[in-house]
Amino acid sequence: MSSSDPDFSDLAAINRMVHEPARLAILAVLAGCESCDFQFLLNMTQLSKGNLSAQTIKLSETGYIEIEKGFNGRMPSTRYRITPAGRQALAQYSQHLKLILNRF
Amino acid sequence: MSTDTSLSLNTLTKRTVRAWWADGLWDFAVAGFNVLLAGWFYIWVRVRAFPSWTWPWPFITNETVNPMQVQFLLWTIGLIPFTAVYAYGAYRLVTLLKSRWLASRQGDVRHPFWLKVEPRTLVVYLLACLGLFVTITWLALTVTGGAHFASTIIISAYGAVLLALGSAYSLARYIWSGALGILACTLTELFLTSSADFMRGPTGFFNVAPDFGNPAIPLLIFAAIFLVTGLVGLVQVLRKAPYEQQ
Repeated sequence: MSSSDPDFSDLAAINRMVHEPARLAILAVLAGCESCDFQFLLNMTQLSKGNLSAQTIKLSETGYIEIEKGFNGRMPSTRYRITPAGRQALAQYSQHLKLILNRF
Repeated sequence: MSTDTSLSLNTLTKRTVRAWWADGLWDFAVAGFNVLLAGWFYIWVRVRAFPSWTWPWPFITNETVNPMQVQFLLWTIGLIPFTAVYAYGAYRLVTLLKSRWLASRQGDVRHPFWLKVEPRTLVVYLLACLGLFVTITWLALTVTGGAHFASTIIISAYGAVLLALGSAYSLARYIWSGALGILACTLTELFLTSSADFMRGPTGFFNVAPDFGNPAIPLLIFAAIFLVTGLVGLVQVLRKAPYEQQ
């Protein structure tokens, strides 16, 4: 294989935690704010409640987002915040994908 | 998902940033600031431009050499802490209102105090600001024979920020209100204002300082526009049913 041919190891090395469309959408929304609640995230990503909940837990376990349970006035509220690691992973993923798409 | 992933990601991130302006609450805060700034400029320009104008310090007479120097300096510098306090106070209040009042309809999103704007938006803003300043100055020199630089700076700065933000974050109401504001302010500058006599001072609100103009006029026009755009945004959000009812 010549050096100009596409190298599939690049494609295999992509961050799969970020690559999943639902998680990618969650990270992209959180990158635009300081924090938001479940309803806002649901509204922006158009995911189902169950899927959103499952994906945010996965992202939280990886350390890409923080989940904070509390109250907004008297109503229980869950807030989400992207961590510096999550922001970096999103930026790296975007660069990585652009690089791959440009080479194919 | 589109093949242009970065575009899709940017769109989602921009929609989140746009939520800061979408409900119109910040427009009310800007309108309030404009009214206060109009009052500040009204005094600043008159003290600076007319020797006969001593208000709000009537105890200082015209016989004193440089009678307003210290007061004028304090008045000028005072704008910086005033702006900082107002901006932070308005940010906290708007954040609280979004969270307590509108969260049930649009979700609760908190933005940082310093919103990062893309470099492209800043370039568009600077170019629009410069272009508007040159165009309005040229029009004023051609039509009336004299330009009012302080007023023109206000028109250009506010018009450009509305156009740049409107196009960057797809806020249609900012684009039309920016265009409307620029048009209304420019027409007022060209056809409704007249230059006041240097020694006698201004005889009315539209009798403005030569060279400076009366920045209170465009500021109040933009304040009225922000009130309308704020109402438009707020009504759009309030028409949505709360999530519990969806």
